[in-house]
Amino acid sequence: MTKQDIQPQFESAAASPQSALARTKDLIYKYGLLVVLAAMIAYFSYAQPFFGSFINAMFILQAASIVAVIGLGCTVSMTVGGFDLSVGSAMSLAVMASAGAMVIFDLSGPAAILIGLACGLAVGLFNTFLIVVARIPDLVATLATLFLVNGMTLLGVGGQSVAEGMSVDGVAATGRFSPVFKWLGSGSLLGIHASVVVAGLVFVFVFVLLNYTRWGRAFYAVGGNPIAAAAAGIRVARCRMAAYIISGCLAAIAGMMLAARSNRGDVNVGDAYLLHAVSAALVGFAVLGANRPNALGTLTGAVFVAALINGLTMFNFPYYAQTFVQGLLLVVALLMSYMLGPKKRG
Amino acid sequence: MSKFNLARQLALAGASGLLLSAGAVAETVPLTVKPDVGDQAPEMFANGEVDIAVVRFLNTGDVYQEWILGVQDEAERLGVNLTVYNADGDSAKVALHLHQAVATNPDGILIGWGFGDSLASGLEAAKSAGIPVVTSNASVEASDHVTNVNQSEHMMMRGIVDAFKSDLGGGEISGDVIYVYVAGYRPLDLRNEIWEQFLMDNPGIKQVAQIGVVNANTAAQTADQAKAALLANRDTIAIIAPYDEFTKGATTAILELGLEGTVKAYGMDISTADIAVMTAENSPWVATATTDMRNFGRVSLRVAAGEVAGSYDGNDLEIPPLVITQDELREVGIMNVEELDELFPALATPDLANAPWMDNVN
Repeated sequence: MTKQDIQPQFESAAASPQSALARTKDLIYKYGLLVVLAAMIAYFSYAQPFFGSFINAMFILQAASIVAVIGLGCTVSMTVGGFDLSVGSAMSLAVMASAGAMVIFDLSGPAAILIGLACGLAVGLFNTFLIVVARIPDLVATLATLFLVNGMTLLGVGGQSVAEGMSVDGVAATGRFSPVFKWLGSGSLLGIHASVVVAGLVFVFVFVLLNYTRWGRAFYAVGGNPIAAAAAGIRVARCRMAAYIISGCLAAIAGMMLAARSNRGDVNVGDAYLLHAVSAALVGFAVLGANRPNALGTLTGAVFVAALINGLTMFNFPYYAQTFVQGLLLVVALLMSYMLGPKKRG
Repeated sequence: MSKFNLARQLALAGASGLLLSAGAVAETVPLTVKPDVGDQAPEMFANGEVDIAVVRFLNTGDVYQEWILGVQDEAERLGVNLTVYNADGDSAKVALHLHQAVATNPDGILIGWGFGDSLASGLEAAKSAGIPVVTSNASVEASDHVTNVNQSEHMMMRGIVDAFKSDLGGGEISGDVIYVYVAGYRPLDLRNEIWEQFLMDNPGIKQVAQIGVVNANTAAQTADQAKAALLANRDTIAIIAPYDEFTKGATTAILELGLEGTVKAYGMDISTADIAVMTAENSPWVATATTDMRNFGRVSLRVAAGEVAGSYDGNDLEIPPLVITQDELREVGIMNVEELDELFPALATPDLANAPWMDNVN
């Protein structure tokens, strides 16, 4: 594991002789959240057999897919010790740009996808400029990007939603969502829904990147201690640039998945996803005792929330109670990470 | 009743085609209760075996809360089991939820708000599964398997512009007004048609500013915009704000600038919170047109249940509105929308789309 050389302070607790209590704590710390997830799925499936069906599992994964993709982007920026508040706005921009490319400018699906990705890349580069070149703190810089990009998006579409047949300068737009693009939202591959396939690929990419490549090791090193990382010969600036570009591009992919599913571009639709994505990444800290941003944890966090909402809906929980339960989950996950986990500094 | 048993078997088997081709209507036809519908509740209703999925695009805010309370009320009266999906105004979520609802194979689906583009593929799925769909204020065309229930936007808007005109003494009226509108929302677009007509018919009325925003903070942001517009247009006599979040914003702006003596707000919709705003001392919100969202929810669920039982001809129902003035509200000392039903009996429309059997479920 890459963990030893980067964050050795985490290992001290495991090395000392363990009492039964400490062992239990350690088990809860590592597997608690997964056990809760498994128990929840088991209970929901028992109480409402449809919950456990393959088709409903697909719905849960579909519901998780967009949050997972954008959350994996957040995870990457968190590994370098950053925090990308602009993912929601990058998402909205990609939604409007890709939908607008097809509906207003009558471009093809692949062109729209490239334009969407370019938006994510541009947001990532702009963040890099603010954070790496101008040395503005991450939170402040990406907050500025959030408003700037959201504002640009609104200016670009005149505050209007993009939909087939929308009025552009008084004339109805003739462009249509291309079938290639729509596939992202409603197609499937070998019986697996397209958005689940895309999210799966993104997960594999981020998982391998963070766990099995030198880049990943460098990301965590930069996040752990940038000065030490620089002293060890890691190019800190380059790592952070890569992380923010990945974050922006994944947000753009999530945006296009959203646009493809809804077949329209709604104004500021990405806003709500920022917090859900961050929350998925944070819940992920508590998965397998990682206690740091990690791909598997983020995916678990996204699926956990989607399964929870899906189940609660079947039991007719009102929407406001669902938000509460989601908050409860985050608090429990954080408590597990911070109270049961090895203490960071003695 | 054999007819109901047939409908039930079709719904249970998920069979398509037969049910749809029986009443194949390609266009919008006003909804009426079939003349031969009996007064005995269909067995599936009497046994409490009817499941209806409610797929909501918009769920946060007074209007939507009232609507769902009405839906739940009527579901209880008709012995219907509900599953409610909430999309928080996210088109992608509502698209997924509609597919999810179809997969659970309910007897009927009721959609609350939403755009046609994002609902289209789910509606196809519902059609092939033979599940009747009723939409409530959604931008979806009525068809042989989709029934629309809408408040009559045109009648509502005409109601408040007429009130505005008569407040000015009628005849040749004149004055500067601020108008609140955001394009792309079907109800607002329909209301806007009446407004444009009104401006043409009354050349003395000058629209000096058009403002508007629709998001999670509509009222607050509309207030900010309205303040700026009022400050820039000192001769404004009224803000026409045909959506209650708009009207609340307009009212806030007028009060904060201390202009309640000179500027009136004409609004739309009504909820308990709206009643408090409208009847408050000095409130500039002088008239509203409404269909009572709770009643709207009731009628919507009623129509969904009636479609499950096959009790209707036609596929389009408009709920007539009522124009209520601030004076009327104050006069009766009203506090909330439950009392509204009682004090303005025209708002509750218990006979609308009410098949005879619906009164005999329990």
